[in-house]
Amino acid sequence: MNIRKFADMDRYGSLYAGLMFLAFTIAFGVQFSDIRITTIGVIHSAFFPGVILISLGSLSLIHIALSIWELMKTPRTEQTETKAEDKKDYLCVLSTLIICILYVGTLERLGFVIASAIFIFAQALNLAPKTERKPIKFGIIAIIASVAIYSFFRYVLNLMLPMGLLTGIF
Amino acid sequence: MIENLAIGLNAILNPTSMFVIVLGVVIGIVLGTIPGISVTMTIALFLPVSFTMDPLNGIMLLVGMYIGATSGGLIPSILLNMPGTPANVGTCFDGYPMTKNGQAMKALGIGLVVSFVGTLASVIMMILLSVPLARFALGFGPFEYFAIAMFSLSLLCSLAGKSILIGIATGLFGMIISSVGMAPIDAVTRFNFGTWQLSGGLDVLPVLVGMFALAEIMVNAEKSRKLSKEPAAVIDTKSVKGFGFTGQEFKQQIPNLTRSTGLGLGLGLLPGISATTINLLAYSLAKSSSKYPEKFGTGIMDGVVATESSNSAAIGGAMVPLMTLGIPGDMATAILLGGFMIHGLQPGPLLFVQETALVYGIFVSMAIASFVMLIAQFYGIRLFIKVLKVPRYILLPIIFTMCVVGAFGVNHRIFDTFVVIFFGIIGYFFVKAKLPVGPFIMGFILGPMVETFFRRALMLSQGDYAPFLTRPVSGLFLAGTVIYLVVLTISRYRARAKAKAAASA
Amino acid sequence: MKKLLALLLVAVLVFGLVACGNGTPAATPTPAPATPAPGGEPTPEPPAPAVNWPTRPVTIVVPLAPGGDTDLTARIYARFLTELLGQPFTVINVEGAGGTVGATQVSHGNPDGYTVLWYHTGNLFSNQLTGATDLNHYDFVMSTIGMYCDANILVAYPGLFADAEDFLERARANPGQYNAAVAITGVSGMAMRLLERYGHFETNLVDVGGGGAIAASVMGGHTELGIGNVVQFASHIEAGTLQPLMIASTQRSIVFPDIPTVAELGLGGAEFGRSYFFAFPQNTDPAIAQALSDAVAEIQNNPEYVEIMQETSGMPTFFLPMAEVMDHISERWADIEFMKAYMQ
Repeated sequence: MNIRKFADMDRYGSLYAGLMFLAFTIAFGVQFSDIRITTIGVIHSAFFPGVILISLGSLSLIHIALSIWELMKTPRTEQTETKAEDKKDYLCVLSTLIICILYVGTLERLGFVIASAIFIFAQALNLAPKTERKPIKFGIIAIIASVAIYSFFRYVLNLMLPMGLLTGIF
Repeated sequence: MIENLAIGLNAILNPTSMFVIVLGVVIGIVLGTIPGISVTMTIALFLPVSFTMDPLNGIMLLVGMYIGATSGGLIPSILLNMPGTPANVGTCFDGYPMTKNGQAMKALGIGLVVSFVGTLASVIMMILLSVPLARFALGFGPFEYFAIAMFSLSLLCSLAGKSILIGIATGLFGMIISSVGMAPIDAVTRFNFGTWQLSGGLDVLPVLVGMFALAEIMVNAEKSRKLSKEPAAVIDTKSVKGFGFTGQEFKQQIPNLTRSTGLGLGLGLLPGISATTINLLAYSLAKSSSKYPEKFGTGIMDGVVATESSNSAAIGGAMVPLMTLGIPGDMATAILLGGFMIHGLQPGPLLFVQETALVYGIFVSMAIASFVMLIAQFYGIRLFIKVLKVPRYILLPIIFTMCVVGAFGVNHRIFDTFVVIFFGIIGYFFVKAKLPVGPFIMGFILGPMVETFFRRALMLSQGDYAPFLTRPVSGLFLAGTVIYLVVLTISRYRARAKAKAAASA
Repeated sequence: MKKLLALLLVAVLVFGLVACGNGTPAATPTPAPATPAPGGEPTPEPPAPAVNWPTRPVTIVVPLAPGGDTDLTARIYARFLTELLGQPFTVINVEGAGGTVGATQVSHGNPDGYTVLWYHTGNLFSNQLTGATDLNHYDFVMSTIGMYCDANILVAYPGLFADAEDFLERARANPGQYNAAVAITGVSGMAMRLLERYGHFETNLVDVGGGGAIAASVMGGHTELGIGNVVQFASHIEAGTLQPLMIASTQRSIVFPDIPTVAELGLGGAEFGRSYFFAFPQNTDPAIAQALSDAVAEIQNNPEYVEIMQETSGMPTFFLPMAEVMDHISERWADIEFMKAYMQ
C-alpha cells in the first residue's frame, strides 16, 4: 500500500482533525480523575471540563465516522502530478521547526544573545534558496540583530532576558 | 464640564507634556507592531519610567502607549498574518487575505482610520458620560456577565466555515485547552499532566504567537527555498492616494463601524472583558449581520473595520471604570491603576474633584493622542513596509526571536516559549487540515469566562437558576443566544436544501 | 542588503547611546541620609556586605497582579534598594493561582541570589488552607519581613445597616441571608471566615475576584457586604458609596478613625494581618539573604521611605530581620492552621 497517499491532506485532513480532537479528549480524560472536588461554591471544578470532554469526545467520534463514510464514498481522484512550483517542501518545514525547538531549548543555557544569533543564522540559511545562502552575511546580521534586540529590551525596557553563558558580562 | 476641559488643556499645553504624549503614542505603535509584545506588556515595561516623571506626564505616557499599541498591532496582522497584540487577532482574518489580494494599503488605511474613529469616539463618550456609564456598568453582575459570555461563545459558530460540527468541536478544543491550570473560584489544579509549570495555566499570548506567528513561519517554509528574492509581501504604495480607500467605500462601512464602535465601548466598560474578546465578538457580529457573510475571510474591509474600531473603542470604555471608580476594565488599565497609585493617587470619585487638572488633562491628552496616532501611524506604515523589503528568510527568523522575547516576557519563564512551539505545531496542523482558527480562539478566551461567571452567579443565588432568566439583561442575552442558534440552524438547513436542489436540477 | 546592514548598525548605535545615557540607574551607591537612630546611636554606614552581592541587576518577583498592594510595596522597596546597593532591582510580575505560580517558580529557581520573591503570608497561608498547594515558608531561604498590613475593612451597601452592632444582630439572626463578596481562596475569603467564626454569624460567601471587583460588587448592589483592604475602599468610603462597618485590625485606622475594631465589638481574635517578606530560592547562600535583610533594615531609617510606604499602604512601617522571620511566620501559621477545616 502506498503510504504516501495518507499525506494527502485535502482528502484525509478532515479525518485527521477528528483524530486529533479524539486524542486530546483521551489525554485530558486520563487527567480528569485527578481533579479534586471541593465544597466551595455550587458547581465544582470538574463539572465544566467533564461537559466539554464528553461533548468534544462525542463530536469527534461522530466526525470521524462521517469522514470515513465520505472517504469510502468518494473514490480517490487521479492525482495529477503537482507542478514543480506548487510542490511543498515539507522537509524544510520540519527543519524549520527543529531549529526553532533547538533555539527555545537552549535559550536558557546559552543565553538570549548567543542562542538568538545562532538561531537567526541557522534559520536564515535553512529558509533561503540555495543560490542566496550567504553564511558570512547571515552571520553578521544574526549577531547584530541579536545584540540589538537584547540591548533594546534589557537597557531601554528593563526586561531581563536569560543571559546564559554571558552571565555577568552583559 | 467646559471649564474642566479648559483646565485640563491648560495643564498639558506645554512642550514637555506634548512631547510625552507623542513619545507615548509612537513607542506604543512601535511595540504594538512587534508580534508577541502585547499592550499590557508595553505599559508594564514603562511603569518604572513613568515613576520617575511627575504624575500627569507619567500617566499620559502610559495612556499614549495604550492607544498607540492597540492600533499599531494591526500592521503585522494585516501584512504578515501575525497579530501585533492579542487585541488585533481578528484583523488577521480579513486583513491578511486583503494583502494577498494586493490590497494591503487599503486594509492598512481603513484599519488606521477606524482605529482613530473608535478611539476618539470612545474618548468623547468617556469625557461626557463617564459617571453615568460607570454606574451603568456597576449594575452588571455575574448573571449578566455569564449571559454575555455565553452569547459571545455561541457566535463562534459564525466563524466555523463549512462544517458547524467542526466549528463547535474546535471551540470545545479551545475551551478544554484553556482549562489547563488552576480552576477559577477554588483554584483546584486541572490537567497539569504532573508538571508544576502547567499548573500556572496557558497564557493567551504564547498560544496566539504559536498559532499565528510560528505556524505562519512553517507555512512559509513550504515554499521558502523556492522563492528567490521575494519580499515578505508585495505592496503597491505608489498608486495609492491618501488612506487607500474611497469615500464611497467608507460610507458603506458606516453601519458596521457604528455597531462595532458601540460594542467596543459598551463591553469595554465591563471590567473583566478585554479587547481580545471584544474584537473577536465584533467580527463575529459583523459577519452574522452582514448581507454577504460568505465573503468574510476572503479579504473584505468589513472584517478589518469591525475588529479595529471595536478594540480601539474598548480603550475609552476600559478607562471609564478606572477613572471613575478605581476599578480597572482590563489588564492594561490594571497596570495604569498601578501607575496612579505609585504617584500616590487613587482614581475614583474624589480624584475628579481633588485633581481636576490631572484628570481632565489625561482626558484631553487621549483625544490629542488619537490624532497623533493617526498621523504617526500613517507614516509608520510606509516605514514598516520598507522593512518588509527585507527577504523573508531573514525577516521571519528575526521576528520569531522577538516573539520569543514577548512570550518569555509575559511571566518570565522559559516554559512559555515551549508553549509557543507546541501551539505552532497545532497551528500548522490547523492550516493543513483547514480547521478554522476563530472558534478555537473564542473557545480559549471565552471558555474560562463562561465557567467563572456561571459558578459565581450560582454562588450568589445559592443554587437558584431563575435569575439567569428573570434578570432583564441576562435574560435578554440568553434569549438572544437561543434565537441566534435557531436562526443559524434554519438558515444552514435551507442553504443545504437549496444546494441539494440545485445539484439535482 | 547594504541598506539593511546600515540600518541595523545605526540601531545598535542608537541603543548603545540610549543605554549609556539613561536606563540603568546610578551605579554609585548613595549613602542613606544621616538620621539619628532611636537611642541616639550614630547612623550605621551602608552595610559592607559579607558576600560580594549584588554585582549585577536583581529581579524581584511579585507573584500577584501589577498595581496591587504587593506590587506597589515591592516597587517602593525596589527603588530604595537600588539606591542603597547600587545595582538595579527590577520588579517583574509572575501571576497565577493567587500567587502560587510565581512563588513556586522562585522556590525552584536559580539560587545565585539574583532572583528574590516578594510575597505575603496572607496568600501564602490561604493557598495552603484551601489545599491548592503545599508551598510554605520552608520551601525558601527566607530573608526578611519588610512590611505588615492588617487593615481589612468590612463594608456594606450604604443604608442597609445602621452600624456594626445592627449588622451583627441581623446577621446572627439570619444565617446565610447576606452575601459577602470576597476572593474566596485569597486573603479576603480567609478574613471573612475569621469574622464569621469569631462573630458567630454566617453569610453566603461569593467569589467575585480581586480587589476592585469586591468594591464593584457591593456598590452595584449585587452583594450586601464586602471585605478588603483600606486602600481599595478609601475613596469610596469617603465618597459615601460604601459604608464601613468594622475594621479587623488591632488598632483603629489612621485614615478612618471612626470605624470600630473587631475587638471593640467582641470579635477579638478575628484580626488577620499579613507579613510581606523577601524570600530566595531553595539552596541560596544564606549570607546573601542576610545581606538583603541588612539592607532592608537600613532602609527603615530612611524618612523618605517611611513616608512613601505609609502613604501607599495606610499602615505604619514594619520590619523583622532574618533571624526572627522563620519563627514569626511559624507562629502566625500556628494561629491560623485551624481554618483548614473551613476552607476546603
